[in-house]
Amino acid sequence: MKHVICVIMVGFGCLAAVGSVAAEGEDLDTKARAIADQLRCPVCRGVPITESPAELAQDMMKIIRGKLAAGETEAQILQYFADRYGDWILLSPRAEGMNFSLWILPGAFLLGGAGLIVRYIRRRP
Amino acid sequence: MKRWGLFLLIVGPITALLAFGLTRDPHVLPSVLVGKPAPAFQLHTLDGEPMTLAALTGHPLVINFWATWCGPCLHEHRVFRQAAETFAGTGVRFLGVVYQDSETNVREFLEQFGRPFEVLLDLGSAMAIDYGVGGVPETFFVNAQGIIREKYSGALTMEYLKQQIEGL
Amino acid sequence: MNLNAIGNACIAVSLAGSLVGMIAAVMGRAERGAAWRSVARICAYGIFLTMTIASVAMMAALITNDFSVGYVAKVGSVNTPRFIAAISLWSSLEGSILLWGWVLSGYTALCAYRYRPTLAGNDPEVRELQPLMPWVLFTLFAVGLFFYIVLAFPANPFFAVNPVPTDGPGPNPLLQNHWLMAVHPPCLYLGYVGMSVPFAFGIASIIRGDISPRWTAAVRRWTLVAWAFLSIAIVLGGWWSYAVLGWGGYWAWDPVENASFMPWLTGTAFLHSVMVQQRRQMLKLWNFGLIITTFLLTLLGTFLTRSGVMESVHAFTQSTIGHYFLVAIVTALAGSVALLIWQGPRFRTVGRFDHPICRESAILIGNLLFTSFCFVVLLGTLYPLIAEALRGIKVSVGEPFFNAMTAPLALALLLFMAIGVALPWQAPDWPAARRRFGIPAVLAVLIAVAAFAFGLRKALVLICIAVATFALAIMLMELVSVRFRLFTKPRRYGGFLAHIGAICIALGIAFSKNYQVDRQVSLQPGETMQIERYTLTFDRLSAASLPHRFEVSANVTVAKGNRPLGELAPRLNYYPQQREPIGSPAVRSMLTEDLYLTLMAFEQSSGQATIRALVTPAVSWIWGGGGIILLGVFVALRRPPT
Repeated sequence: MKHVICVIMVGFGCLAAVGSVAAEGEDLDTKARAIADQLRCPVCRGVPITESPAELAQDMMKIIRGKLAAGETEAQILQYFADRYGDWILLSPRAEGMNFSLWILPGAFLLGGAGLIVRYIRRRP
Repeated sequence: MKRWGLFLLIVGPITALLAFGLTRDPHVLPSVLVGKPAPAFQLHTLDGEPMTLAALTGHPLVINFWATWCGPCLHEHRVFRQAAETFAGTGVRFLGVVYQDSETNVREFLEQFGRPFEVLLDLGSAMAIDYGVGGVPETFFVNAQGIIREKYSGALTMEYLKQQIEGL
Repeated sequence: MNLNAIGNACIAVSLAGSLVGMIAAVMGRAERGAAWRSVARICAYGIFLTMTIASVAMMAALITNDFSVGYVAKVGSVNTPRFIAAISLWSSLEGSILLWGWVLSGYTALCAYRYRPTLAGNDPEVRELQPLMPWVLFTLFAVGLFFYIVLAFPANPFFAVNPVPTDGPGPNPLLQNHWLMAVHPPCLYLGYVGMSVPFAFGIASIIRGDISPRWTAAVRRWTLVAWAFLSIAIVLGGWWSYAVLGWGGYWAWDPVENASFMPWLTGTAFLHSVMVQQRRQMLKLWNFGLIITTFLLTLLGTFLTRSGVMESVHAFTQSTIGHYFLVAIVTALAGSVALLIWQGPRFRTVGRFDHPICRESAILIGNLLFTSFCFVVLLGTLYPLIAEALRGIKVSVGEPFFNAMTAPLALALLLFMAIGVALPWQAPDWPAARRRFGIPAVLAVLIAVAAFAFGLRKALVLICIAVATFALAIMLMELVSVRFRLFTKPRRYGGFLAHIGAICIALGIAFSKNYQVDRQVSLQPGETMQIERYTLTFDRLSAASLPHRFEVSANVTVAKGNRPLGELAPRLNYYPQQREPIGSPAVRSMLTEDLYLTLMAFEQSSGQATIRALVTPAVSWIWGGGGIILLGVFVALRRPPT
C-alpha cells in the first residue's frame, strides 16, 4: 500500500515539474491577455476586460497592446490603470498590508483544520 | 462563560460586517484622481482644432464625458446650456468629451440641442481611460492650477454645478 | 376581481398561520399535545393552500397583463410573449420572494404530510421522528414567518397602483432571452429553500438533545433532494450565462454565483460526513454545524445579492429588504450558535477511528477541503466589504484570486474522492488496496504522459488529467466490482455516478478555461474568416421586428475543413427599455468542442459585421456532468431493500 501511495505521489510530482518547466512561449497578444485578465471591466463590473464585449474594454485592450509594444512591463501597465481607476480595477488585490489575509487566512484555515483532524483521528476514548 | 465568549466571537463580527454593508452604496466609486493634477490630453475638437490641457491651464475647467446614446446626458445637456450662459465671461471653460460615439451622431445631436461646450472627440477612449471613466455621464472639476477637485458620476443638477464651479 | 386583495389576504393569512403554527407546535411538544400538533399540521397545509392561491393569482395577473397589480406594472408589458410573462414571476425581487415563500410553504406541508402520525404504525422512520416534528415544524414556520413578513411589507408584489397604467416596461431583457430562464431560478429556489428542511431537523434534534438512528437517513434524503436541485441550478446558471451573456464563459465568480455555490459546498460536505455519522455515530456536532451553516449561507447569499450590499453583474434586483434579512440572519445565526453551545455537550461522541487510513479519514479530509473551498469563496466575496469597513478603500477580488486559490483545492478534492471510494471503512485492506490503486495510478501516469506528448503543456491541466483518470478508473472498477447491483446498492451506485459527473465537470472546466481560442474580425458580406479548422463565411445581415424587440442577425455559413456544417446566426436584440443591445450568441455544440459566435457590432450602411468567434474545448462536458450527477441522485434516492 505504502509503495502504491509513493508511486502516486512521485508520479504527480513529476507531472507538476514537467508541466511547469514546459511553459509555452509568449507572444505579445498572450501577454496582453494575461494582463487584461487581471483588470476589471469598469463598465460591466465583475468580469475581466478580456471577457467583456464592451467597447471601453476593447479600447483598454488596445492600450495594453500599445504599452507592451512600447516596452512597458506588466507591473507598469497594471499601475497605470490602478492610478486612474484605483485599486478597485485590479481583480487580484495587491500583495500588501491587510490584503495578505486573503492568502494567509485560507492557509490557516486549512492547516488548523488538518490539525483538528489529526487530533480527532488519534484521540483515545 | 468561555463558551459564551465564543458566541460573541462568532456572532459579533458577522453582524457588524453585514450591518456595515447596509450603510454603503456599492455603486459609488470615488475617483482616485481627486486632489491630483489632471492627466494631460491631446485631442481634436469637432471642428478639427487641436486642443491640449496645457493650452487651458489658468482657467477653471469642467470636463464632461458624454455620449448621444446616453439618456441622462441629454438631461445634462440642458443644464450645461444654462451654465454656459450663467458663467459666460467668468473664464470657466466647459469641455464635452465624446465617449464611445460616432462623429455623425454627435453632429446631429448638437444641431438639435445646441453646443454649450467645446466638443472634443476621444476616439479610442484614450482620454476617458486616462481619467478613469467607467460610464457616462461623468464630470470632472479642475481648478485653475490644473488640479482635479471633484468627480461626479451621473446627471448633474444646476445647483451642484454652480456650487462646484464656485468652489474652483 | 381584485387580484391585489386576494394576494394580500393570502399573504396575511400565511403570516398569521405561521404565528399560530409556531404557537401550536410549541404547545404540542409534550406527549399529550396531540390536538396542538394537529393544529400545527393544519396550519402547514393551510399556508401551502394560501401561498398557492397567491402565486396562481400573480401568474394570472402576469399572463393577463393586469397592471393594477404593482408587480405586473413593474415587470409586465403588453408586448411580452405570454410564456415570458408567466416566467417573469421570478424576474424581479418581489416575485422571486413570492416564489420563495410558495416553495417554502410546499416543503413545510410536505414535511408535515410525510411525517403525519397516522403513518407511525407502519413506518418506523415516521414513528421514530414523531417527537421531533413539533420543533421541525416550529423552525419551518419561523423561517416562513420571516418570508411572509418580507412579502407583506418591504417586498409586497400585490401593491396597488394608481392610476392603473396601460402598459409596463417589461421584464429585464436579459431574462427574456433563453428558455433556461424558465428552469434555472425555480431549481435554484427548490435547492435553496429545500435546505431549510434539514436545518429544521437539525435544530429540532439539538433542542431535544438527542438524535435517533433514523434521523441521519431521513435528513440525508431531504438534503439530497435539495442538493440535487441546487447542483442542477448551478450548472444551468453557468449554461445560461454561457448561452445568453455572450462573453463565452460560464462562471465569473460573481457574488450571485458565489452565493449559490457556497451552500452547495457545505451541503456536499454534509452529504459525505453524514455517512460517517450513520455508520459510526460520530461527528454529530460537526454535521449539525454543517447543515446549519448551509442554511445560513442560503440566507447570506440572498442578503448579499438582493439588498444591494454587493455590486454584481446580475444583481437584477435591489431594494430596502436588507434590514429585514440582516435581522433574520443574525437571529438564525445567534439562535443556532446558542443552541449548539447550550446542547453541544450532549452530542459529544466517544467513538474513535480504528485505523488512521480508512474511508472515514478520507471523508474527513474531503470535508476539510470542501469547507476550506467554501471559506475561500466566502472570504473573497466579503473581502471588499471588509477592506472598506476597516480601511475605507475599494478593492476588488475576482477571477485571478479565486481561480488560483480554488484550483489546488478542487484537484485535491478529486484525488481524495477517488482514494475515499477505494478505501474500505474502518481499516485498510492492504492486498485489496494494491489491486484498487495500482492500475488506476499507472493509467493516470500513462494518460498524462500521452497528453503531454499530444502537446498539452499546462501543469494544472496535466495534473487534472492525471487525477481525473485516476478517479475515473477507480469509480469504474468499483462499479464493476459491485457487479451493477443497481437495485441492491442504490446509494453506492448513485455515489459513483455523481462522482463520475464531478470528474466530467472538472475536465470540462480544465480544458475550456485553458484552451479557448478567441478571434474577432470585421467582415463584409461574402468575406470569410478562419478559426481553428472552421471556415466562417459571413453571408449577410438580416433584421426582424417582433412586438417586444427588434433583432439583427448575422447569417454565417460554417464549414469544418471541407465539410459544411450549416448556418449559425448570432444576433443582437434591441429592447425598447434599454439602449445597449442584448446579444444572443449562436453556438454549435459538439462532444469535443463548441463553436461559439457572437455578433459584436454591425454597420447598417455597408452591411459590415464584427463577429467574435470562440472555439472552446469540452465545455459541453460540464452540462453533461451535471446531468450525470442528477442521474446519480435519482439512483441514490432509491431505498435499499431491507
